Formats: sequence, C-alpha cells, structure tokens
Amino acid sequence: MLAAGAHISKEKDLNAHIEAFVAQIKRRQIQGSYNVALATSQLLLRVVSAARWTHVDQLVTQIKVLGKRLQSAQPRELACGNIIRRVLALIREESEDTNDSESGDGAINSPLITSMFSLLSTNDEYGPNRQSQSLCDGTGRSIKKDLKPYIIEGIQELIDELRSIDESIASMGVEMIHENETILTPTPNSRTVLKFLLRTAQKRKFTVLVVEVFPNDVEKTHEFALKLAEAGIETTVITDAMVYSIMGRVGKVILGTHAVLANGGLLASAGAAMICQCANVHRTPVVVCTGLYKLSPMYPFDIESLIEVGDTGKVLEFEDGSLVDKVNVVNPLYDYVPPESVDLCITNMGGYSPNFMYRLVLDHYRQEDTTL
Amino acid sequence: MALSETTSLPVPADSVASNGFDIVATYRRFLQEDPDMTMPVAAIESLVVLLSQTEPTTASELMDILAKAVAELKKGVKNSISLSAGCDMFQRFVLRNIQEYGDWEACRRHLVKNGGLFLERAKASRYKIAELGLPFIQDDDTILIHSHSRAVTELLLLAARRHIRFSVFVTESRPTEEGLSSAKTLRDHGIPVRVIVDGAVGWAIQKVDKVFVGAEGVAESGGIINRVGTYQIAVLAKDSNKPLYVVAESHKFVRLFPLSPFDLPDESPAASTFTTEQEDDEIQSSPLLDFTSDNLITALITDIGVLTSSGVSEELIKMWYD
Amino acid sequence: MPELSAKVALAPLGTPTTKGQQQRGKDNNNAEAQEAKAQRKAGKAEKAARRAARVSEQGKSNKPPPEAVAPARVQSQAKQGRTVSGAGNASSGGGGSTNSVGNVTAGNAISALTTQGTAIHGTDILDKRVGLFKHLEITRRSGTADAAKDIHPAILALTLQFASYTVIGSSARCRATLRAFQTVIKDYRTPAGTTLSRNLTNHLSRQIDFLKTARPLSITMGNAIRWLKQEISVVSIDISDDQARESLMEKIETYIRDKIEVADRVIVQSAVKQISKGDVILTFSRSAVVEQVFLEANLRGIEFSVVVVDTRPFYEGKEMVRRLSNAGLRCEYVLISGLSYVLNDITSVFLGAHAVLSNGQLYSRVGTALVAMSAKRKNIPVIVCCESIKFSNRVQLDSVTFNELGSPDDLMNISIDSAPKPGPLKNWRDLPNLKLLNILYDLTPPEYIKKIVTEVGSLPPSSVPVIIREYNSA
Repeated sequence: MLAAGAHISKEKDLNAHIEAFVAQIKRRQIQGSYNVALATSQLLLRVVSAARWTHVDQLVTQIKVLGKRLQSAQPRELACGNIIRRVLALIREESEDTNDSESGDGAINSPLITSMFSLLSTNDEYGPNRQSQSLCDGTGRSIKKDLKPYIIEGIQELIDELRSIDESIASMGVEMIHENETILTPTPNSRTVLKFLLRTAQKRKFTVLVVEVFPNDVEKTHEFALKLAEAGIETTVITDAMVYSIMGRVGKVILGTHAVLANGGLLASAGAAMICQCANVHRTPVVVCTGLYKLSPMYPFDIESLIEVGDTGKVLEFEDGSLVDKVNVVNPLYDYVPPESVDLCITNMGGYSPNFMYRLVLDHYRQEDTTL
Repeated sequence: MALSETTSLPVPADSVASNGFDIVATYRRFLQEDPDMTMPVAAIESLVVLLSQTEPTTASELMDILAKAVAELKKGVKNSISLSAGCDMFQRFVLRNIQEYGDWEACRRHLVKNGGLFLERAKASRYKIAELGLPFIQDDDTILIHSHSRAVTELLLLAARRHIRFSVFVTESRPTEEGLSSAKTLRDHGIPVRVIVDGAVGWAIQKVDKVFVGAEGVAESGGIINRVGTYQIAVLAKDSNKPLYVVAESHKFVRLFPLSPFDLPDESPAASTFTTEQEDDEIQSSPLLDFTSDNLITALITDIGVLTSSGVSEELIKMWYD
Repeated sequence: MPELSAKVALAPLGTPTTKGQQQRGKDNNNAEAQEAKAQRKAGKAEKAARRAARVSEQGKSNKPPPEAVAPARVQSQAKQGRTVSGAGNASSGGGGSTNSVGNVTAGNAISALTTQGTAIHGTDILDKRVGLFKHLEITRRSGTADAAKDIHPAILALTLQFASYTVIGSSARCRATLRAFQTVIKDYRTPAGTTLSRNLTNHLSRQIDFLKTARPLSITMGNAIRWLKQEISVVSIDISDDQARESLMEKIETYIRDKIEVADRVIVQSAVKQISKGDVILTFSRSAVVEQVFLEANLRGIEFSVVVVDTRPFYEGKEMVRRLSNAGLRCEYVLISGLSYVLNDITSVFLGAHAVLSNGQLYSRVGTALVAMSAKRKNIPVIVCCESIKFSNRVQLDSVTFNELGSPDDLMNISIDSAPKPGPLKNWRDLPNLKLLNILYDLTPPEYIKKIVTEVGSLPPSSVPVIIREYNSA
C-alpha cells in the first residue's frame, strides 16, 4: 500500500514536471538546440525511471505520446524530437538484444544485410532457426529480463555524450585549421563553433572573420567576437554584405547549424545559404560543426515550412509607422543550406561528407519513429 | 496473380539450353504476359522456373546452373542492363544463403515455393516508393517527366488520388514514343498533361518545379541508366537549379560503374558510325539508353528510402561484400 | 595618330546601334537615338584633344600616393597585427592637410615604434586597420577648420556633406560636385600675370584635393573632372574671363543635363520595358535610376511588386522602399541575411552601379555581388541600370585592391533606427586583436550580369570598353 501511494505521488510529480517542461519550451525559456536536447534527455531519464510497463511496446507508446506533445509545443525545435527518437531506438534495441540472446539468432544483427534482398527473402521458416523478430512477438520473454536499468544506462550515456559533444568536436580543430589560416564564420551565435575556435587557438595561430548575420542575435555575435579577441585570436567583424568581397582570401568557412537534415542539408542561421554558396563559388571549403543531436531524420520536402520567421521590428523600426504599414517586412531566422554547398560535417562521431549523413540517421534512429 | 502456375510453365519446344530449358524465351514470355513486370523481376522469375525444373546434387552445381542461365540470358537479350541487376541479386542471394545456412536445398525450395511472391513484392515496392515520394509533390507543382516509367506513373497517380493538384510536362521520348503512353495513363486519371517533343525541354524547364525520371538501372555511383534523353534533361535541370528525382525500385541497383554511355553494353553500334549515304533505319538504330551521373541527381526515391548517391553504393557494397 | 584611331574605333559602333534600333521596331524611342547621335558627333569632334588630356590625367590619378605605400612596408617588417602605424595618414601629402580622425602624427608613430614590445597604452596608437586593406586610407574628416583660405565655401559645405554621407550615390555626388564647381567658377577671378585656362585648373585642383579629404572621388566625379579640366584647357585666350566663366558654367549645365538627367530618362524608357505584369523584382540598396524605372513602370499601370534588399550600415534601401511605397507600389523589405528566403519568387533583379569597369566588373555598394551571385544561381536575370558616365577604364579583379573604407565605428552600432546604440563592441578599440571592417563597395563579376542598360543602349558587360572608347573618352 505504502509503495503504491509513493508511486502515485511520484507520478504526480512527474506529470507536473512534464507540464512545466512543455510550458518552458513553448515560451522558449529553454533556448538553443543544445539546451533543449539536454533538458529533453534529462526529462526522459525521469520518465523512464518512473514508468512501469508490462511490455516494452507500452513504454514505446508512452514515450511517443510524450514526444508528440513536446514537438507540437515547439515544432521548429528539431533537437527535441531527435532525442526522443534516439531514446526510442535505444529502447527497441535493448529489447531486441534480449530477444536475440534468447532465440539465439544473430542473423538479423549481422551488419551487412542489404535491404535489396527484401525482395527475395521471407521471414518464414526456411532458415533453420529463424524466428520472426517483431517486438510484439516477444510476448512474455522480454519482460522476464528487466530492461529498465539498461535503458536508463543508455539514456545516461546519451546525456554524457551530449555533455562532451563540444569537446569532441573541438578536438578536431587542429585537423581543420592550419597555421596562419583565415577562417570565416557566418554563425557567430554557435557555441560549438566558439569552442571549436577557442580550443584550436591553443595550438594554431589564425585569423577569424566574424560575419554579423544582422539583425538577429547581433549582441551575441559581437560578444562572440569579443571572446575570440580576448583569447588572443586575430578577429575582424564584417557585415553580411562584405562576404563576397573577402571570400577570396578565406581558407575555410566554419559554421554551426540549427539542424542537419537526412539528406545532409542544413538549417542554419539566416544568411548561411548565400555565404556557403559564395564559398562554393570561390572553391572555399565549407565545414559544419554539429553535435549528433542536431541530426534529424526529416527530409526537407517543403523548405519554406521549416524556416521560422522572426520579429520584423528588428528589420524596420516600428516608429517608422507609415512605412511599416505599407511595406511587407520579412525577417527569416533560418536558411536552408543544400547538402551540395557543404564539404564536411564534423560531428562528435567524427567527420563525414554530407552525402553520408543518411547513414548516421539510419544508425541512430528507427524508420518507424520518423513520424512520432 | 497465379502464384503456383509459375512453377508449372510448359517448357517451349524449341529449347536450346543444356537441360532443355530456354531461359530467354521464358523471360520474354513473362514480360509479354504482364506489362507491369519489370525486367529484373522477369529475370528473377525465369531463374525460379529454371530452379524448379532442375535437380542439382550439390551447391556448386546449383550455382553453376544459375551462372550458365544468367550468361545465356544476358547474351540473348538486347537490353540487358536492367535484367542483369535482377540476375546478380538472385545469384548473390542464393550464394549468401548457402554460405550462411549450408542448406542449399532449403534455399532452392524456398525460392521455388515463393516464385510468384517476388512479382507481388516488386509491385508492392512501387506502392511503397509512391508513399515515400508523395511529400515531394505539392499543390500547384509543374512536373516534368521523361518517357515512361512505371514507378513515376505510380507516384503521380497516388498524388492525384490524394487530391494534390499538379500538372505534368511529358516528353515524347523519341524514338520509342513511350511518353505518349505515359501521357495517356495520366490523362485517363484526370491529371492535366502537356506532351512536348524532346527538344522542347529547354523551353519548358523555366516553368518546371521538379523533374521525375525512372531508371533502367541505378549504377554503383548513384548515377542512372535510363531512356535516352534523360542526361540532357538532367543537365538542363541542373543549369536551372531544378531538383531532379530518380524514382526506382532497389532491385534495379546494378553493379556497374559507367563513366559515360559508351561504357554501357553497346546496343546500337550503328549509332556511332558515320555515313555519307542516307540510311533507312537511321532513326530506329539510334541509341535507346544514356547515362546520367550522380552529380545531376538530387535524390533517389526508392523502396528502401530516399537515398543519396552514396546510399546506393552502400547497398551494393553490402550485397557484394563477403 | 589619335585622329586615325578615333575613326577606326567609330566604325564598329555604328552597326550595333542601328541594329538595335531595327529590333526595337516602331515604338523605338527617338530621344534615345538622337541622344546617341548627338553624343557621337560631339565625341568625334573633340576626341583627339580629350585623348591627349586623358593620358596625362591618368598618369596622375593612377599613381598611388607614395606615403600610403611606405608605412605598410614598415608594418610588415614589424610584428604583424600588433604594430603601430597611422604614419601614412598623418603625413601631409598630396591631399593637403589630411589630419583626420583616428590618425596620429608622425612623431607619435615613431615613439610608438620604439616602445614596441612593452604594453601599449591609449587607443590611438593601436593599429585598428584590417591587414588586407591597409593600403586604403580612411579619410573622413569631421570639420573644416584646417581648410586653406582659397577653398570655396561651397566646396567646404559639400565636403562635409560627403563626409557625413548626406550626399550619397555616385550620380548625386557627381551632380553636386559639378554644381559646386559652377559656383566656384562663378566666383573665380584670374590673378594677375596668368591666364584663366592655366590658373583655373590649379584652383579647381586644390578644391578637389580638399573634397578628397571627405571621401575618395567617385568614378563619375573623376570622369566629370577630367572633362571639365579638358574644357578649361581649351578655353580660347581671345575671349574675356567673364565670357569664359559664362561659357564654362553653361557647359557644366549641359553636361549635367546630358550625362545624368537625359541619360537617366533614356535608361528609364528602355529598362521599363523589362517589367511586365505580375513580375516580382528584386533590387539591392538604393539606386536613383533603378528607383525611377520602378516609378515609371508604376505610372504606366504595370502591376508588379518590388523586393528591396538592404544592408548595414547605411540602410539606403529604406529610402528606396519609402519612396516606392509612397508611390503606391507593393514592396517587401528584407536585410541581406534573408536574401535566400525571398529569392524564390523573383522574376528579375535590377541593380544600380557606382561604376562599371573596363573588364565588365560591376563596382557597386557592398553586397551587390552576393545578390547577383544568388540570382545567377537561381537563373534569375540580373539587369544593371547605369549611365555611361559611370564607365571607367580602370580594370580590377577583386574588391580588395581598390575600395573605400568607411568608419569601423559604424559597425559598433547595433540599432536599426536613426539613434545609434553601441552594443557589446563599444570598447573594441581597447582590444588589440579585434578589428571592425567597413568597406563600401564590392566587385560583381561580369558572368553574373545579363545586361547593362545605358543611355546608349543595352549591352553585355563585355562591351563596356567599346562604350568607353567611343563615348566616355573625356
């Protein structure tokens, strides 16, 4: 009785916690994809710890429902959904591992099974001990072994991964930047890029051109430049318009991103598309620094719907009333950067060509979770 | 679909193969009987029929019989790229199973028993492609398609069924004029179509939002082998920065790595000779296939997902890697 | 010799013009053709003399002031980036008294050099110039107290207007300069012992040197000044000073009318044909002639809309969008960072020019190259509207070798309205590693430009030198 009561109050606690979290992301009190990702994974840790299930499918459903809720609270913050999908994949994997070890069939996990064979193979009994692998068929067996500690451990690892992301990306700086190189960054609101540059500056002497990406986050941008300069890096602030004139002298363009999509395309701050294109025209390599939590299984079918539009008051002051009424002012916050504009994605799992990002998507998410 | 019949197909009287079975004739009959069947699937079905009629005594004998039949088929059929994709996959599948389970007899039984299933699956994979490709089509789109492709048609029909309003430019696609049959199918389903001659693509491209093409074969690089004219459309699309999507089933992935159309099996040698006299069948002997390299392709919409060119390569590597 | 080459050069030009007229058919604009003819005649008559003058003028203007080169060398010998300089700006060279903001005296520079390695105090002696652009001078003055006595008040006023960017845009600056020269000439009295044709040029040169302390001359101003000096040099010694002044003022008036006002009208009549119903036209910053094209199209009742892309720090596009929307045009306004977002529906791009160089490069407000590049990538035609007075026979391949520097402090401001608001960078001068770059122009390669509409017809960028040879040889 006592235990049950404690459980109920715990559940209440948890619900209140979820409510608060939803409200926070709705009001954008948690900002930046990193913070959202971290907070989401911590929330999931609590949810899984508190959850009770007789079958894994129940847990999966529960988390999917939560995921849907979080996503509708802030549809453009992709990091949230990405973490949910990572955890779902983790749960599925744990439960399949358990099934596999019991049925003794390792074939399904044999790494090099091509999907092309799906035309010919069946999951019927022609193989000696081949068993159907769907989650639902694991009735009874999967519950015997308690998955919870494994799942919690997995989420804990995910949180650790998140915490060390900038560090692991930054450690690749020396492979990217050579002595006396000029670097241009069009996303000075990115903490990943900031850490990348600061860390690399300990070993290399280089110059950074900071593009303002006016009008959003301009204070952050200027602070970014200050931090670089204070760390002893030669820093020059330029306006967005000057990029073309100076690109010929730039060694590499290094940018952060809001999200990486399944085709290797990016959702980065406004201006990034034209700056990357400018780099392409000048044959200057474009390098993206991103944590894996920004990788989304979404394909950019409808680019315009992905791009958030910001406060137009940042473009044209409201005091200029006569003008504001007549003119349609636009302030996009993001740009879609097509994968062909990007030369390299540096992730916490190493560097990859954008062409290869689909593989990381398949590695970390399950297709059935793509739509929550 | 009559599944079990495939095993009891009568063997043609004029069989020339070693064991009295004519694989080429079987293959042709399959294609004739079902216009919806693609070449790789017809090849696979023919091999299944062959398996059902032979009684190999060892695994290596089984592989041997298959290899001979495949060679015969490739030799006997003029346009062999697409069917070789099916043959290769079939042989690989049998080999993989024999290696993995040792029980080649079980594998043969499985294939023979499920003969007709593959055809059904191949068709189902086109529906799956259509579902995956659906978000690519939006209201008010103007789409350009080339020649006739079952997968592309399937996708467009699904989009029309889902009440997406779009219009389609269809190329005539000389010399086969297969575009006309695409146009008819689409119009029959209420999709507004404008047929243009192949030379008018450059005129139309400014008004086009996206291009969909099918493929005879998808090469290792992610480039495609398709009806002649695809390459020039792809170049025009690239020049105008319009996306070009390839819609193809994964069983069309083929282990070829052509760099130009001249790396493909030469089907119309006359086309690259020059004469001072006018020839009667000049148009008819013009080449039917060309090669479009991966850098001109935005994405491949396949039954195993929306892939980039390296996705194709990965699947092929996985199939051939031991 | 000059006579001969002039004739040879004339031959190929006649053909394209007549062809163009045929193509345009009956609704061909007569004004345009007459304009062209008139100019051709004038050009032919005085070509030889002008050519001679140009050669000598070129020699002068192309030579970089020696004192601008020397300090750069000093710096590169010293430790890069940290070093002290400003000597280049400080020395009083050809520009007269160039004692502008942020500069140091030569004495200061030397003492700073000797104390190098120890801590550097004070803001003045830190070199805040960006390495790549050290060859360019910042010449923005804040007052006229140091002006020599013979600088005309009209020039003083204009200099301040230039320095504060109150008068901005190359046509506007050219016109204002010529008007000021009219006043200068009106008030000019030839000193005893010399002639007008000899002395007035010197007098004007001093005025021009003073003007240069505000901002470098625009290409249009350079072209106009070359023409004016030529006119002065051929003033007959037989006529009285009064007559000469009268005639020069009259000539300036005609020049302004023909080269700017009539030219603009011809360009507008021609470019407006490029706009049709339903078009969405993108333009960047503000160009006076492009603005007139839009207003004319609007007057003709063509329904179209305009997207104005703008940039820091001048926000010239704001004025553009204000004028267009006041005229009832549908407008959209976006900063250049949002360019990709608005580009999807655009049917064509109209750009103005500061100058078009002989190798077809467009020298215009910084950001123009990005706009043209993005449009080209989307296969959207880029049309440049530009008077032939903006054609320059200089060649340039990148935006670094020659450019104009604005005040870096403009970047410190983070506000978008008229009241400046310094952001986190307000103390940027204290940080030795931090620099702000504010260049005013960039160079758009000819492959991004479909068409240049001028008063002598529409032409591809590759034909710019043809026009320069024929029409702009003054």
